[in-house]
Amino acid sequence: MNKVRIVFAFFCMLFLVQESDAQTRNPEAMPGISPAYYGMFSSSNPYATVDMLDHIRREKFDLILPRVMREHEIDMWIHVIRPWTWSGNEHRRLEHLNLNYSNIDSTDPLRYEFGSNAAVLVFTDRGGDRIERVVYEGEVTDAGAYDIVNGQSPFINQENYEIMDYVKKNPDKVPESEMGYRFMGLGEFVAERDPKRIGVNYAEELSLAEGSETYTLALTDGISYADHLHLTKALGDKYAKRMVSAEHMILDYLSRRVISEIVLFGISDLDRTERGFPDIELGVTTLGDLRGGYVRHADGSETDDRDYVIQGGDLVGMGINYVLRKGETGPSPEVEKLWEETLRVREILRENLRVGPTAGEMCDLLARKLEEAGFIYIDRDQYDINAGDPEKTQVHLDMHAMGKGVLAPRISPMGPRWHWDIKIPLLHTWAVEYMVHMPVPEWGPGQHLYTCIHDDAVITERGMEYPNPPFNEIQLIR
Amino acid sequence: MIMLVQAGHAQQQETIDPGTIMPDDSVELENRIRSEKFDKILPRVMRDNNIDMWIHIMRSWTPDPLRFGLGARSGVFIFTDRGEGRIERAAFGGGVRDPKVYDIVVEEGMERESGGNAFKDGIPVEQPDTTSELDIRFVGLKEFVVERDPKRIGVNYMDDLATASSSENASLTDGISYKDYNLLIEALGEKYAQRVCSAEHLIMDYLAGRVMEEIELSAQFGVIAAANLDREFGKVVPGVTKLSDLEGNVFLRVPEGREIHAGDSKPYVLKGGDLFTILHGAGNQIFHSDLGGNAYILREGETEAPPEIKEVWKHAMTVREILKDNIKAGRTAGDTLNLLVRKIEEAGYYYNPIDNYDKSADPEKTQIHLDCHAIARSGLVGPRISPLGPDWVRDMKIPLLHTFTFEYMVHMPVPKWGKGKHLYIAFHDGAVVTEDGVVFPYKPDQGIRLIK
Repeated sequence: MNKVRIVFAFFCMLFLVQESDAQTRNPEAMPGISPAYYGMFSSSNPYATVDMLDHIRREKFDLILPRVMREHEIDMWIHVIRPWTWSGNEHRRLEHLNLNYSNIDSTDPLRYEFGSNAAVLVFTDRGGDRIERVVYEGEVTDAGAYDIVNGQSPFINQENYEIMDYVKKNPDKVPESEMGYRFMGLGEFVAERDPKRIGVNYAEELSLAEGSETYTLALTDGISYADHLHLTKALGDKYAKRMVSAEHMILDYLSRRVISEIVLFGISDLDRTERGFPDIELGVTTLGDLRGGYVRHADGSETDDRDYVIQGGDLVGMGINYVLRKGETGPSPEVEKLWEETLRVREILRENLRVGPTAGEMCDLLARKLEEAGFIYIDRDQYDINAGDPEKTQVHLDMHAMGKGVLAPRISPMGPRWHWDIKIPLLHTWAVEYMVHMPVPEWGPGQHLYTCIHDDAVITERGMEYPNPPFNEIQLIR
Repeated sequence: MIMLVQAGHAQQQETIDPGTIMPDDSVELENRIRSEKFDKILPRVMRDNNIDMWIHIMRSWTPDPLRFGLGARSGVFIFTDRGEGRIERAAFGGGVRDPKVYDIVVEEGMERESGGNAFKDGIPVEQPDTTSELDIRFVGLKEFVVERDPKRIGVNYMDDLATASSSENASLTDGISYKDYNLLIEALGEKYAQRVCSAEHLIMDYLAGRVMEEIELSAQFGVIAAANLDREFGKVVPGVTKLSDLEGNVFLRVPEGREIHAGDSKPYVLKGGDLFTILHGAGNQIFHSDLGGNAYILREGETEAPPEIKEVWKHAMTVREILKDNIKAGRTAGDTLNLLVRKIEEAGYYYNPIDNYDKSADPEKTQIHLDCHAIARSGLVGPRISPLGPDWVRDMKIPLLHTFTFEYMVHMPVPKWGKGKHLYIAFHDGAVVTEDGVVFPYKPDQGIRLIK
């Protein structure tokens, strides 16, 4: 019997549910992409068609790759993605969050950029405008984006009869273990191109790009110790010495956008911007009936219990979604004031966000501007009763990257510090995420109203622009 | 309608609901298995491999093969042989599923991948006062190790084993990253860094070890697999049913040897005279059992299997007995393979290392191919009595309670059909190696089913 088929059947059985779910929802989109990592490329996004995703990949190869390689003085980039970075385990771990994690796949941060969950990829700067793109070993979804695609090695799992044939024909060239097959011939390939600095996907000084509330990831540690060892052997002493970590280059490659990404980023969230709530029945309707969300109370406590019964006066979820009390026909004066404060913060952001400064510098600048405008800047998303003037509204910032996970640069007090050291690039896509805690002194000390704004934005030469409608009004829930 | 060739009786027809035999509290069962393995397997494999401290680093972004075994998705786990009857078990990480099985659980310190997260359990995470999360990965490790002063420290990185090749897909990983390795070595300091070695063999042995609870699960899921097979064979209507209508790994080989598979793009409709195979299985996150079955579709006018169908089954049963008699605990898989090859040849068969009929072999001899690989929760990890896979899976000793598929293939020439023409059947039964030899925790294939 065909051994590969046996295992295929086994894994089909294991992952039947998640696979079928993803495929029926949107067969066009590339599996393995989820909003947690790559919102704009999600398989649930009807605009993320194969054509569009391929186009973005090729645009990035053409426009971003030469630039980041040259900026980092790397003339060869070897990126190793191993098949066992995929397991479906992430899906199983996160499924209880009721999010679209159904097709989480490889954990390699570049699986989309390269269109592969398992490959050895080599990019070489051979001069001219473009970078040579080679799939040295492995399979990719978009072979046309590459100059050479060697395909999967028949020896990759020592399960095929090909390896038995090879051993018979080449008794003197049999590696001691499968590890030796991994980079077979790579030394010659590299020597032919004679790179001066070879970037390889291992971590050196950056911490993981964890800065995500979902505890997913954007960067990994990169290749294993064993892979590094065998890659070193395969390259030989001369070229092994030229290996450097590609981590900064990878980060730049992930962070920079082409215009087609902006198009997709903008259009992807249109569904979300169609805001509105069904009519509710006070004392009966629950958060679950409103498809979840949360309510933060005047004392700062928060509930996201789906069984929580909505009360008049509640503010539900992101934006200002106000639940009318009995007899009310519009928002209360305090809520109207909260909205005004929210818009004032937005203006401060619009006036100051621009290309060039690091995220940390921008965070400091915004904190100062907020203070100058009469707000209190807080580095935690919790009302600080000891922050000073109890009349002042407190503002928290967490403007993280969007579209490819919570990556750098991050204009926020949260996340690894190197997220703050990254300069804000042109076409940076991010979340205009800020939280406004407005005290209501007549309710008592520390009592306040709270809102969280989370709009999509892009940095252009003109500054901050919205690719789709931001929160523009108070939503009333009746 | 289905009958069996030379079999006692057909297996039950109805599908058994897995929920009816699975314990209500599978978490409790998982914990029990974990605990049993810590008690019974861990000391043996550490001592067999001459390792008195095992440091296992598990990162959330790598599908570590010991996620189940250690009951966590990430963390730093340290097992120390302190010379008593049991191994000290320490877990550094906040997400251990069953803290009771550990002697020491430290939630803060080394396991701090969450550094940089905005929230954890809805509470803002205190950000470390460091420029890099990497600085805090192994905080406190050296003191812990020095206190125990191990002579040989096994760490989960690969050295000379192949990686995923004991399975057709992913069962082992490379182990820790290059970065983790360097940080660990730095954290340990020169004295203890020199004592570090790969834990790969220990890990393999640990994964291959079984406890009784797993054997019981094997039996339970085997019964479900049998019911699944009965259900699928029961669907067949000759001249109507396509291979692709059937669930499982479904295939047949024509007399020339070409395989037709349910997954082929051109659908194949089953007809009289076909001899085909279905492999099916059942399992959960703890264990998986497989079973195979073969069926012959009677031609018009036939009321029983033709002689050659009866004969191929007879050969299959002879081989089953050879395997049963000669697979024992304590021998390596490779030695066992060599022994089986000899016994098979002594019984008048031709051993074929490839699962394709060999036309250059004696045309009178039935050809036998073997692939008795491990089966459990973690794919094909373990000793493999087979010519397939890397050599090191054949170098592993068969442990007591080894669970494996009793997988072999029979290619029986039928000279009257012409040169090279033959019949093919395959077996994929579940088996366990006990002190009394091989036993089947659930019934192996009971005979070639006859379908009218």
